[in-house]
Amino acid sequence: MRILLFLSLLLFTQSLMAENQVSIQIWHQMMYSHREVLREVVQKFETEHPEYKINLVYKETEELRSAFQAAALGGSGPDLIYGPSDQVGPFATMGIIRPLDDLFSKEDLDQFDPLSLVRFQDRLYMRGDMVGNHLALLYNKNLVSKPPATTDELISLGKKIAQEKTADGKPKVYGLAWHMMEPFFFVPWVAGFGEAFTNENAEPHLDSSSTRQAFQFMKDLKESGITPKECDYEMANALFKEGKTAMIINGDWSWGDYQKAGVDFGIARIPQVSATGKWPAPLVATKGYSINVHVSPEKLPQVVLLLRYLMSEASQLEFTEKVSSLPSNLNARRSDLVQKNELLQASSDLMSVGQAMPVAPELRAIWDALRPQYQAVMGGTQTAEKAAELAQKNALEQIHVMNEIEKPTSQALIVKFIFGLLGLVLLVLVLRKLPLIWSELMGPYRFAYWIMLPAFLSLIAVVIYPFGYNIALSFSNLSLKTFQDWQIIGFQNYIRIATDPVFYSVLGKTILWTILNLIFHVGLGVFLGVIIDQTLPAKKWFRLLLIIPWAVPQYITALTWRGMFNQEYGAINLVIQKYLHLSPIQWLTRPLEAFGACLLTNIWLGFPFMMIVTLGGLQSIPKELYEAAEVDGATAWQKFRKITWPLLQPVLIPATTLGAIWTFNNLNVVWLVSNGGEPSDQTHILVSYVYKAAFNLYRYSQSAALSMIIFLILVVGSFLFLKKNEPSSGGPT
Amino acid sequence: MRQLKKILSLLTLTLFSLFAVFPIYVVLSTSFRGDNAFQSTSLEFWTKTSSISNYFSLFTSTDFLTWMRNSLWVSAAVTLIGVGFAIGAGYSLSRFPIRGKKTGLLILMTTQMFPCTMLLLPFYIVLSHLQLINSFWGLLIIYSATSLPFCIWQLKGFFDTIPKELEEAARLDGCSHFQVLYKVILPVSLPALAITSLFNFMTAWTEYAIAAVVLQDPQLYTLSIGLKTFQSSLATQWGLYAAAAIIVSVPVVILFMSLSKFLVSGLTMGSVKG
Amino acid sequence: MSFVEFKNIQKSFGDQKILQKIDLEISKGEFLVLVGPSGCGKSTLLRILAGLETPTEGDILVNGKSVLSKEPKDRDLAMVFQNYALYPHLNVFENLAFGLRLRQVSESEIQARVKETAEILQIQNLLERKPKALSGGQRQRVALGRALVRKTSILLFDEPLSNLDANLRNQMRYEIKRLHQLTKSTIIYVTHDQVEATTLGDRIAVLNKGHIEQVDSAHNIYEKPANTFVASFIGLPEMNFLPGDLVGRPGASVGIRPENISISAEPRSGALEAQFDVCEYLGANYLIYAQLQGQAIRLLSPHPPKTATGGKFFVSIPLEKSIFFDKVSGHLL
Repeated sequence: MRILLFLSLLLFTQSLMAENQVSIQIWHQMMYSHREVLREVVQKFETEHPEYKINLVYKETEELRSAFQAAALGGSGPDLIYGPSDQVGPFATMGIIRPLDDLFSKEDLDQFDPLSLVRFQDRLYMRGDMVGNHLALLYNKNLVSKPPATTDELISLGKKIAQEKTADGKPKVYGLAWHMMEPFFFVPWVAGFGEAFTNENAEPHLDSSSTRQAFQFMKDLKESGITPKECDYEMANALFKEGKTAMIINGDWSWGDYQKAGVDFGIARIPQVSATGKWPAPLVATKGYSINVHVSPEKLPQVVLLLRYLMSEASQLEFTEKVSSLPSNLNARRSDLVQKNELLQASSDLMSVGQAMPVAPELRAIWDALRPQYQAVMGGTQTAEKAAELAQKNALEQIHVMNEIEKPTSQALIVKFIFGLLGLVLLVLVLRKLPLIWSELMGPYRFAYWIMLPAFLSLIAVVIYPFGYNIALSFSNLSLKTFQDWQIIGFQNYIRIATDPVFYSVLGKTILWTILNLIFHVGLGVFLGVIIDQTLPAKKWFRLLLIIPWAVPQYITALTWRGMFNQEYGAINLVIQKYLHLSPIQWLTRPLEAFGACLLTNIWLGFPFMMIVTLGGLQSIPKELYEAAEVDGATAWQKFRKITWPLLQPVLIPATTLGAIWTFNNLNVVWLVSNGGEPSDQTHILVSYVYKAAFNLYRYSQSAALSMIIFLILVVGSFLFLKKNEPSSGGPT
Repeated sequence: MRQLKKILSLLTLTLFSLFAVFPIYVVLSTSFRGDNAFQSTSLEFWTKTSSISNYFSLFTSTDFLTWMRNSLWVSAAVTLIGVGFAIGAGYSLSRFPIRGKKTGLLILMTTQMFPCTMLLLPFYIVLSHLQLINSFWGLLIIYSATSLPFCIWQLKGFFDTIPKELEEAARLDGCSHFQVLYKVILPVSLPALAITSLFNFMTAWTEYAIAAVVLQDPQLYTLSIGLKTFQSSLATQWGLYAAAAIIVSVPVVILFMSLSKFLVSGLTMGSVKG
Repeated sequence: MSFVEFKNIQKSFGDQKILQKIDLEISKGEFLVLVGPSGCGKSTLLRILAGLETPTEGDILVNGKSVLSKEPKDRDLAMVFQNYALYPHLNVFENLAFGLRLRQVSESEIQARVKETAEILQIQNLLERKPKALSGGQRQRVALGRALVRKTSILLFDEPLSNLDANLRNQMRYEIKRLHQLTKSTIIYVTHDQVEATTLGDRIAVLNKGHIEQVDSAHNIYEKPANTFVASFIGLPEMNFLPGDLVGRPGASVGIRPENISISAEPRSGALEAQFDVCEYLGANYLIYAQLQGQAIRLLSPHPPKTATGGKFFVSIPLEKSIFFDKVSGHLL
């Protein structure tokens, strides 16, 4: 049976590989509507070149980045990678995309908008197919006849529109909405107050009066009552489509969608800052294709052929027609499709006040430093002054860490020596045990050893080996700049973590998180289990209903809960307002509330497990004990305290240990509900902190060390816990 | 008094059941609305704009069926392989004087304590050495192996509760070691096998992070990655997403519910008597 | 000629010696009972014969040939377990047929043999049931049937009746005896219950601490126990041991069975004075607890002493019915 399965799977994979075609893979992060166009363009290419087979793989921007890094490190990955220009810096630094200078002639390139040719350290790494990505003020023509030219006008117009209230005191139509969590939507304003947010060398320039004023302005704007109280991209987008906000600040990528949704809208510059008389400068960027460094020389011409096709006038105009993007091909720019497109003409006007998006990897550090401060200001937990100061400080620190290549110290020798020694000891042990192992495999219990072997081998390959690899990484300097040639450096990663106050505060939060969760899981689980056990007739039905949170896939429920926590549209606040008549809670923009939101979600997810465990444990408690207690005159509480609770220990203790481990390491809930630690990286527990450090901040070696520390904490913690409870438990020790 | 208590407990249970199903209610109601209806102030289940069009387009205009087929494949294979391996190891550890048994069991438990996300990079490197990137094989190996420790513990715990004499009787009756396992132990362990299979199936059915790294060809996508394509950083197809989420959840929920009886006995058996 | 022969069997688990130098011969068709207190190693000996344990040293011959290298299934024996060990997933018919199917016995033969066995044990009407739906006594019968149906030349019983209540136990005891006469198989039967031992066994082997203390017929063991251990283990109520001085045999320990002591209210020649303690009514007679010169004794008498607790009465110890043991070694003199 299993052999059959093996064979059929083998055939299946074989048939996939046996295609006699040129197969080119593109990874991209295009949004839904753009994806459709890309598919059409590629299909056309395939009909023209039947020997080609193009695979399109969509990945969300962040994932595209981390997946491509992992793939390239493993020596594979797609042939072409499509994404925003700011990924060029990191990829080029890691050496996982190839320079394109030798592939295209100067005449070739002259036909394209210089903005679309993304260079890093004087070499061409990306060819953009569309220019823009810039923010503008979009207004619903049914609600706004003339777009505001200055911020003062914006506010007064907004107030007028937001005057009319619904029954629960909210504006019927908001004046303005925008993504209040992402600094991309904030930096144009910094320029509006005079200075740029980076200097000529792409270094952060954040502790400026412009940044402070811009922060203050954003905050005031939010409090002027013309905007929703809490607004992320999804919500702003939805409000504008439904006509519930008169204006939105959004990028050019959304225009096609709004047209399709039938919104009658106009485009204008983001209003001039009244205080300074300057225009906010949206970032103008390009999105485009880079070539994987692992593409073989034989395949390179084929990939270039495809790339040329994607850059061609016809292909680009296809996008222009369907999703109103501004082509990078200058010939395409001259076509009627562009010339007569009102939106694109507006776009050109907008770009004239824009600033070019920097592509250096350091930009990421700037975003990462700005994001929490921006969120903190908007959430009202940080002053503008402090935010600007901290943003600058953190950005500099992160850049320092990113660019630092740690050199091996004398400790490296010690580490290598220990590794070598351990390896040797292990080798000697294995060699010496070899005859023994062999004799066992042939001995009286050979049956047992043989049937254990598959599990044993797969565990070694998939769990033990990667674990060892991770240990090695934790002593190394693997980071952005040493991606291809990392080496063992010593204990620096561990020392850095041990001396970092953030680590201790996150550890504290993680412990609090675990304890609170377990209290509720066990408390609710036992409580419900005991009640269900007593209500005989409906027992089965309640058990079925209460098990649901456990049964539904976590990533679905976590995202659902995030939606339900939205301040104005989330189901939770709606219930709180409608049925409890309380004021809504800012779940996702304040640290404490966001932590509470994650907690509530995880309690919901975790109590059924404990309930089922309790029900199982209750089955093994003899009914006579309760009868004896009844005769002795015990109250219900005494019966629970003296019989149920102690006799549940044998099942609850192992389950709690397991639950503690799962909760401690639960990435899904925290990551998805708080959207990666929002607000301001305040909701992290250790695993999400590790995840972020590894995959967003390129600090692989440090996160490897951190994960080792997590592991040790859990090992020590759970063994202490089990030891303490050992006499009364038959648990797994 | 007794009556009052009963009413009170029924009330409590009803309240918590509402708490348990409420998010599902929200997803279900979203799945009938348009793309942006996640943002809406109505708590009603069915609004004027509701329709089943999301479900319709899920099957007609997306690769949902392909994902579904892939997920079924992977999940079924992982369940077979994982449970098969776990049976072998669990049985040996439960019944035979295996060398280093205690240490082995401890190591098995400690593997649960390592944050799995950090294994992604090493996994990727292992798999690319084995040329298993972009194939179900890589996924099968990782899924089955990572769920093994829990399954082994689970099954070992259950096997421990089966009286030794049952096997001895079978051996005297003429069974070889393998026949003892196959003809006596396994049929007797059905509840535990059901639970272990369920967990394996669930892991494979819902896992996302590893699948996203291993599978690159859209034709090989499993449901969880497929679903994720509805969700892009700046424009999520909420309606489609919700509809797909409902369809993805239904089989597991049904499995869970139909096995919930076993769940009660199977999960705890090992620890109660072990 | 011996059919089963244990030769110098030794077994230890780690440092613990469970069996030390067991030599035992059993002839064909014999019903041998292994009896002894718990932990004496009797079950281990049985399991070694079955092949479920391997001896640390020694050999076992069946029909003159060593069986140690054989798998349990090839040793031509069947076993009845204390907890029945019925296959819970199979019904009674399949439980009985299980061993036959594994041995590729033809379907018609299986039908016939199961039917025959079921009739012998009167479980014909239970064949479709699962073990869960059977009472303790019924399960015991099925377990017995499963062992019988294979018609092996050796049948092993490992405390098969200890989970039954007293009435059922008596009845099953009778049936096992009857079955032995019917099948003529060689039976080795392990029990800690001396009543089962003496009623069932052609011969009884008394084990203690891994040794065989005595092997003989029930009658001989009762009348001529090899040592004080056997003497006190077999016989109910337990034998009394008195200092030899009392009856003029200094240096010996005098064993006297409770039923052999007679009582009187008045002193008689050779009678000793005793203090009455309590008395239990057993139906046929009374079990009297008393003190004889500071030593507790038990005795059986058709009537109770006519005195209150602490009162005096007289007991006579007939020398011809006494057994004398070496005071130091405990061996029969």
